[in-house]
Amino acid sequence: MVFSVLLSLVVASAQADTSKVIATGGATTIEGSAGGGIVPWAVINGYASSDQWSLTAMNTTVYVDDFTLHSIGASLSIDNRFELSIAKQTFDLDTLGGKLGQDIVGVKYKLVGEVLYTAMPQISLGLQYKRVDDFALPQAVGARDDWGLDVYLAASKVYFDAFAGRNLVTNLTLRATKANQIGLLGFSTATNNDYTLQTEASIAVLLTDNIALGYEYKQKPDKLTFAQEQDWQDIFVAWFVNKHLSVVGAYVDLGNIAGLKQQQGWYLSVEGTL
Amino acid sequence: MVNNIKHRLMILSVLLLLSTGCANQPTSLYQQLGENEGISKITDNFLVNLSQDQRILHHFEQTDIDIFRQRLIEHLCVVSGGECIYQGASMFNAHIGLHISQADFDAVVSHLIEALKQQHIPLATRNALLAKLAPMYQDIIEH
Repeated sequence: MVFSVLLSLVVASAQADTSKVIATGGATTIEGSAGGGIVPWAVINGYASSDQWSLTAMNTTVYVDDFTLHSIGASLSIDNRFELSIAKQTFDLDTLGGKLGQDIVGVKYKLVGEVLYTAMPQISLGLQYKRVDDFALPQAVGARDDWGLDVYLAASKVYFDAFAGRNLVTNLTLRATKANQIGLLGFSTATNNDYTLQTEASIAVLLTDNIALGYEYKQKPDKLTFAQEQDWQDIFVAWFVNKHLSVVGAYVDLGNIAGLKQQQGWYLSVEGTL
Repeated sequence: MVNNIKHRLMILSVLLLLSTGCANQPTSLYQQLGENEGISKITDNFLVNLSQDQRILHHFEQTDIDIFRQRLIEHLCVVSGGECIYQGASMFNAHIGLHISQADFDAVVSHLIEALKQQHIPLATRNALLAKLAPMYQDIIEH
């Protein structure tokens, strides 16, 4: 409801005063940061350039065999330099029964580079503070903490005219995390409270000015003994309808989750930007 | 023997046909942009787009638009591989003291893309031109 009101506001405001070229803000991840679907990128959300700001709201649902992940979020971008984001995730255990969830507050700061214009990739530093809604189930399966802090360094670069006259978007993200299943199953275990360094990557081709086809890979830790945790990946199509509306569809493979094997399915995200 | 020569002649004529076929295709970026005429039209569309953007208009208050237009045409010609002579200052010197912000630069890039679209320049050609222009960011921005 709140989202549809936001969206109608966004569509009603036909002329935002932001300058960045279409698609250069990327989409919004399920964690609320600008990026692909599951990998945060170095780009700052929305189309605000220097001395401008923009607001983005997103609504994302991921349907896999035995689970449904729903994420709503919003972000504020300032000067194409800072990004502040919030996201609320609910994770329905469709076949096991029950529900998990977490809140994520993120901040991202662009350190150096410009994704389109400099030989140096755009590099950003990000933090995500995560806190689970109800610690009972994560604790029961061995999680140590109900909150955690992820730190990531992301590099993004667009290569113009990379092949067949199309532009290529590349991203590499290094993340230090203690999260079990991105935090939905809590953080760390009684025996392992160390940060682990994970690599995440995305690559996308801009087929047209506003349609991107891409692939993402997200390495994940595997600390809980009750069930194996696997890496995530997806193939996505992003349609940047205009500077105010974008839609991302993806086929996702989330691997084994909570003992249930090969969780594959669909990802749909709609976002509006002011 | 005769058959062999016939065979060779056939191959030769096919090769010739292929090579004339290639020669008729625009090869350089300059040709793909429509040479001088095409670049002039792109420039005019671009200037019209700029003139309607209140965010960046103030940068052109002291500008002689006719001279600016001519320099821009020359510059696009040289950048795209045409045999022109650019008579203007370097990108760095031409923007000293103008305080071109990142927002200004982003807006100008969007207007150029729009102008290229208005002249029906294909995506691959647009991207090839942007690849040549994008590195100029360092010389144009904030100084």
